[in-house]
Amino acid sequence: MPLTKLEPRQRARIVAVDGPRDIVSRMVDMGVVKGVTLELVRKAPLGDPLEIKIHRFLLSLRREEARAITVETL
Amino acid sequence: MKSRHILVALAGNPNCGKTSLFNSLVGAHLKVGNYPGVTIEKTEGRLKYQKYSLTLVDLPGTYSLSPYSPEEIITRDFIIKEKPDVVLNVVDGTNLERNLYLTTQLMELGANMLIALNMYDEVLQQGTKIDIKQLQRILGCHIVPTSATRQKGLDRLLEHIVKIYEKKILIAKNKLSYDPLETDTQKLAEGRYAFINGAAQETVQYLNKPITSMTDWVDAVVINRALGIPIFLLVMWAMFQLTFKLGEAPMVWLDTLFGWLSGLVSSLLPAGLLNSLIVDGIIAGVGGVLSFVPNILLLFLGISFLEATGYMARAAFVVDRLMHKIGLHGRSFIPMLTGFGCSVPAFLACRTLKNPADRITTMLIIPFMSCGAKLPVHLLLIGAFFPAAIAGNILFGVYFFGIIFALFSAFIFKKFLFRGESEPFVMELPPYRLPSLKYLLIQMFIKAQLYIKKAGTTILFVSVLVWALTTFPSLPEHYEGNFSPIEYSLAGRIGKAVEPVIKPLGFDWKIGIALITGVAAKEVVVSTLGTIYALDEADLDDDDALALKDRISRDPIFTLPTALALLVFVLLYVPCLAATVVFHKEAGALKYTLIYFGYTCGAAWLAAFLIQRLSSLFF
Repeated sequence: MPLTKLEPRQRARIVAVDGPRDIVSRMVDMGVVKGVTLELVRKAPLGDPLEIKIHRFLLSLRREEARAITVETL
Repeated sequence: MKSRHILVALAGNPNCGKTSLFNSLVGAHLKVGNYPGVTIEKTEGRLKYQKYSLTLVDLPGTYSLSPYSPEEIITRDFIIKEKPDVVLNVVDGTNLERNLYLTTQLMELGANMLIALNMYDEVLQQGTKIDIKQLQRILGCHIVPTSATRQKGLDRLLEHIVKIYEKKILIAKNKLSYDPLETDTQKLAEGRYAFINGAAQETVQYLNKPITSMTDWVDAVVINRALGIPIFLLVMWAMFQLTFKLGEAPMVWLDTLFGWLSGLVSSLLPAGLLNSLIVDGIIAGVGGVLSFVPNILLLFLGISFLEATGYMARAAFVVDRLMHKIGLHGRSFIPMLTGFGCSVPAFLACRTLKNPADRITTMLIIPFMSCGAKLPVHLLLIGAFFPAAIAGNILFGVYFFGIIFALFSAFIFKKFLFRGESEPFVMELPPYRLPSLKYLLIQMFIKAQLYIKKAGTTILFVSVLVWALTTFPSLPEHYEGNFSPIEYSLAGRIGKAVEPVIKPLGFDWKIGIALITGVAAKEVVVSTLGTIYALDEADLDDDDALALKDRISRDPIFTLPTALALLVFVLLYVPCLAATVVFHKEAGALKYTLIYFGYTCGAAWLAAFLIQRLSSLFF
């Protein structure tokens, strides 16, 4: 399922990253690759963007970008 | 014979403490400039160690070397073309895995690498154990634990740099466990991360139970659903209150100092042209601008503080939804916020926006973010027309109006002029850190230096020019009583010529002159008014020590609606020459510069007109 379906505090593992090239390559550079686990920390006060914890750091991305990340919950 | 000069390049992720480490190593011996062709900051420093002289280059912070952003290209090109003797890879030890990604790319390039395992004090504090020896073996290069803010490990670092240069330490290359020539970028990245994870699993031991860090605690409040936006507004508001309130006392001291200096010169020199040039031209002009240095320093300090603590990224996170609605990127917010300091670095900061439409739009609205140089004008007008108790609120209102106007303009530009996809919002929220005072002071000093240089050169030149325009031709005796000398001068004539255009705004020729000279630099609006009013009232007024704001508030042309209209006009109209030149270079086409000039001036006129008319109904 897409990352956007996660609830805050829920953990998941990345199954695939697939989307527009520039978005994917930026996410990949930040460590968003297949097999890595992440946690949806929270949504911004206005509901978008999202904040995730990955590789022990915090990353924010918009909903529309988060859709490129397919995850399976743990 | 071997040269005794070692070139060291510092490479690392943003927020890894690279600049702090650089500052700790070179101290105040740094030189800030730009990379040729592009305008990303280039900081270089020199130091002597043993028998060597070292040149350190602080490369821009990047997560990767893929040729994706200008920062990444600069870093990559520097390492490939300049072939630094040592590449000092600064790695944030508290965030090892992601930081090592850049390390793998540096390994792929075959750089002579030394790793500074920075923030090592925090690593220990968190109870994390890193087997440095084993990690060295895996990566094939030496690792020195450091703490830039606590000045730890710096000597060992320099020792290692020299040893690498002397080839007493050999760098083992080809340690990578994947094929660095893989063409599928995603597969390549997976390979890099697999290598990193392997290395981390072998060498890093985290505390078993996850502890809630300070960052988690602070974020739970600061960007929480209910409080995120109020806190954002509060922080911005507090910053401007601080600028205003804390800067007040030193401003008065400086004013007094320049008043004393004027008196001194007047008493030493005989009355005449030279006396007038120094007192009314140079001291009134430059002094008027320099007396705002405390406010500007505080504003820069505030912005640097927000950046260094990590709040700036949270601010972008909180407002991205709104920014995205008007077609911009949350990251556009950061150049916009920088615009509060100065448009010049703000235009340059737009380089971090990859998308051309986002970039141009952001650049076009930066002029409406009231820059530090406009602050003197705001302070003068607010000081003259509003009681001290509400001055801070009015100032906040001016800034707020600028922001709203900028957002509105961005919406218009994105909708009608530059349609196109927006840039991704994939951004790190760095852990909160208390920046060292030294770091903040160095950042502030660099910016203050630029401002004072501007005051010393451009503004001195313009002040003398304005003095000459307002002094010559001098009033012939037979006209005395019919004209005031300033009216007869060249400046008076220019001001009168533009008067019809600005009359609907309630402005007279004096304001006209100030606005024209203000294109050279915004502070000059104040110094021009200072010069004009000093000359204009010299004969009528015996009280020479009268402050400019009192002179202005006595002038019948300056009604409250006019003052408000002028506040808005100065806020919105075209930025200074220096900024305009930078804009033109950055935008890269005359077309954009014309839009920029036409839009700012047109908007300023229209908004000032509306404010004048509307407020006339009430006051």
